[in-house]
Amino acid sequence: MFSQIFDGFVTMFTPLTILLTTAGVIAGTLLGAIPGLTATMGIALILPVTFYLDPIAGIVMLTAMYKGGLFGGSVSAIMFNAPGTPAAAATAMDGYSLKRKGYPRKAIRTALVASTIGDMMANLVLIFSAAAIASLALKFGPAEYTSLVLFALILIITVSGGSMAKGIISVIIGLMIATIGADPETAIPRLNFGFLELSGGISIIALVIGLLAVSEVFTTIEQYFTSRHNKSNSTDLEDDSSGSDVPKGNDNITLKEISGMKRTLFRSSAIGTAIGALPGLGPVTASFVSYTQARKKAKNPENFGKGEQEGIAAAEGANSAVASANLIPLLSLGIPGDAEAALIFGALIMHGIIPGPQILEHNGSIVYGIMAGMLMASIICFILNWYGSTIYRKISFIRPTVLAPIILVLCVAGTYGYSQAAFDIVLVFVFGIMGYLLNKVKIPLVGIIIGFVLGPKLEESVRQVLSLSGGNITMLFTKPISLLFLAISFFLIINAIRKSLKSDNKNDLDLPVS
Amino acid sequence: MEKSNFVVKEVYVYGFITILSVLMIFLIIPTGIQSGQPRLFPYIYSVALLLVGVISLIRIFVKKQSEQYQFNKKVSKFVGYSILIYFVYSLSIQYIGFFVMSILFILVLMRSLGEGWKIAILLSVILPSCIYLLFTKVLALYFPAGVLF
Repeated sequence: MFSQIFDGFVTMFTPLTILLTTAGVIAGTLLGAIPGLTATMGIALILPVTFYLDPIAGIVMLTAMYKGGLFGGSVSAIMFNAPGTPAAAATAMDGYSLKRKGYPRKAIRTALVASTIGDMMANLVLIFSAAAIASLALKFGPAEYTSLVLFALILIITVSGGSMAKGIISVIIGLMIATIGADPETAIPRLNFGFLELSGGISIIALVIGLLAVSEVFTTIEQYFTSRHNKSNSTDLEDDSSGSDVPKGNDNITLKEISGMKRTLFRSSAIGTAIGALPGLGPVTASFVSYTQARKKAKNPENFGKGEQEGIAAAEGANSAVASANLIPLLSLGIPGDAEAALIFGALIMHGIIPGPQILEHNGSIVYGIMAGMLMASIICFILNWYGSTIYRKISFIRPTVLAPIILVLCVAGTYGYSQAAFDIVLVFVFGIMGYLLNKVKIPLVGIIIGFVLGPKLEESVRQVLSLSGGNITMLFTKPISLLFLAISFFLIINAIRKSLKSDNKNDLDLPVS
Repeated sequence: MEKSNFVVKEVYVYGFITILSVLMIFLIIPTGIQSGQPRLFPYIYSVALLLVGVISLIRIFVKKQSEQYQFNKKVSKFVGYSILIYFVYSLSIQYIGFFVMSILFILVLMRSLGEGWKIAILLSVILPSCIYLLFTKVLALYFPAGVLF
């Protein structure tokens, strides 16, 4: 393992990788800092480009963009109380208050330090645990895989927030889209609706660009005109000046302050790493859990929400740790934990690297190269944002009416550049509209993508189980690992139903009947 | 509820899901997939979707509570125009060509969203040119040429 890690670091360290990582961090930070746009969209846009790059350079650029995006989201959360990404919502609670007290740079740099520590810690856990988890996963047969995929899908449904029914609908839509094309065993065409172009199935690029990037453009246009309609557009935020004039020298984080937060930094990194390692939980859950824990353990919990540095550190440390930790299930088990991991899954597939237990055996130096690149991305992200912390607010004022055409043209160029198929441009449009409408009715898009990615694996495993057992599905309950996953899944379902019934009873008392 | 909004009730969403799954089970799968093993998973997913739709509908009727999604008419007009323009762009790109259509698309979309001529013209020339040069000269990839280019 250590020789593979060493090889990975050596392979990664090229001028091209460093350049692309830097570009990824900058682009991700800029996108993340614009409320309404996310690094996920950026990753979806540049995903086709990675096909033409060396796998390490290409995938490290994607992860750099994700890391940059998570931090960028915190910049707008701190500066304008407008989280650029949902994960930065917890950061806004204390970050914006600290900024209003006259310490914007201190708030941003606190977020940056916590973000870097969380990210580095999760990276190290990823590097040293992926092989152990993968070797355990080598014992997996079709029954274990079936239960694992079911567990992952159920986890995503139960933790995605909002309505459980909508979570299920979202995942089933993704699974159904995955059946379009040809039957995996017999290659008999399925649901191609007479289009020859659908015979090979739906392109993951068309799906993610449409669902994540195009739909987000329309949502952003809607939000922009709604805020204009309500006469509270983003330019109001520009006038939102700091509460007091603090000398520039005082508006900075000190080593003493960092040392004072070391427990919070460690705890938030650990929470983020643990949550990131489970599929479906994501950075939003991590940041709020960590924030709540930090407040519980704080000497002065009453300061939380009023500009407490530990509040910023807790939220940021956890959400950044997720960015690396969510690659643990992806690389070792082939299970993407969230939309970004699903995109990285797509990028690996494009390069012929199949995520799963054998990934380290077959592509060890590439995978460790990617992990090494992620460490480098954290360092580059820290250096760039430390010095760039004073100039970010400007980019938040680019109007969506200028950005929308740019992004839509890039979506078309990116899709066509990858597949060289005009049909995929139409598919991007279809998925874009679908994503926009589903977003409006609060059906989570991430479930569709993860359902789409895991659908073929589920079908393949279940059909293998049926063949091996002569059509008897009880094989799933006789294998210990499989039974364990099914038992946890059952517990998750019961827990979700119990919570749903509890919230129904509460609504009966609180909500007006429509 | 404001008069300037139109409303989509949650019950319509689950109703649509239920109808879609019924169509899948009785029409789309039987006509779109050869009988036997290939139909197994599409059927399983459709039945699961039907169950979720029906249970959710029953739950709404029993509880007599339905979430509502508001669409502002004025705002929807802008989104609708953008979607329409993007639709025309996506369809015609293979017949007219990427470069010319992208110039027209940016120009028309920016103007319809209320941007000035100056920035619209500037962006509509610079962006497609950069992308075109990057893809064709650097990456050696070709866009749909159509009757123009």
